[in-house]
Amino acid sequence: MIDNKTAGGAPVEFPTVIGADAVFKGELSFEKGVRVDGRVEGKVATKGHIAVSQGGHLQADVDAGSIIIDGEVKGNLTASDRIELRKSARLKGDVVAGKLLVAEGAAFIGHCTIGPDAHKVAPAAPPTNRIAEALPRK
Amino acid sequence: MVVEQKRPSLVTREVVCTHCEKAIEIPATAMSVSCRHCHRRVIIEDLEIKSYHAVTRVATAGKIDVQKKGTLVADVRVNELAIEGSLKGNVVALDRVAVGKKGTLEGDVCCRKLFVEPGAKLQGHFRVDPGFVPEPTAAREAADAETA
Repeated sequence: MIDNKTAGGAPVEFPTVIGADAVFKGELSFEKGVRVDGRVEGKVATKGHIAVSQGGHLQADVDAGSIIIDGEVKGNLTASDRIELRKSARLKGDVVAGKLLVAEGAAFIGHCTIGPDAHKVAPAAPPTNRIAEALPRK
Repeated sequence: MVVEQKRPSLVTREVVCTHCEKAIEIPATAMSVSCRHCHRRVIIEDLEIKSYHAVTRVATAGKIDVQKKGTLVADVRVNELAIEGSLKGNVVALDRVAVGKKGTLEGDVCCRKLFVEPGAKLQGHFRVDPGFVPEPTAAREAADAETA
């Protein structure tokens, strides 16, 4: 399970939890925060926080307020505030955020745009074919 | 009577050649050595960038510290990199890259550890892999020539 505090020390609320044995496919939106202990595939759009616990898998394009990663993530991430990669984080995808925090041991491959104006300057992360392929065809 | 004089033991340390990426044992106080594998000169010393420097490539088996008023425009191959100022260029770091709160880094980065303070500006492709092993320079140059 992920620590509910950000690197700044402020506690983050996660009223919604995707359980360790749950698989969610599709578009996920919420107000406050969600913790992913299981698997999420698709698209996530929120002004709140999203946290991927150790053992959690997220294969999605994410647009959120802040993102905390301790598990495995594939997809493009956009955060208006910050992205935190904790020691067991594995991230493959492009990142756009105001702040980036990377703990020792975290792995990350992707294009990175970080800075106070990154969110305004950088174009929104384009949806990748990889994500589209991962979703079931209609 | 012959008195055996004991030679003072040489304090050594291990560094990785910036050209062939093989480990070499060197005296602890050495500033530069010749690699025993590829016979090329390897700079060991730590560099401090306090003003504007623009060169093609900077390679050291030590540390580069780009200070607050420093700007480095170069491709960098280094063991440790700390940026408080500005760096434009591709970075290959064997150990860690640390970008301070007023630091700016523009370029592609390959390293084992990345530390970014809030407020830092980053732009480029990043590969942060705790098991990252850099490619030897010769192989990298050959690959670049092929693509060009």
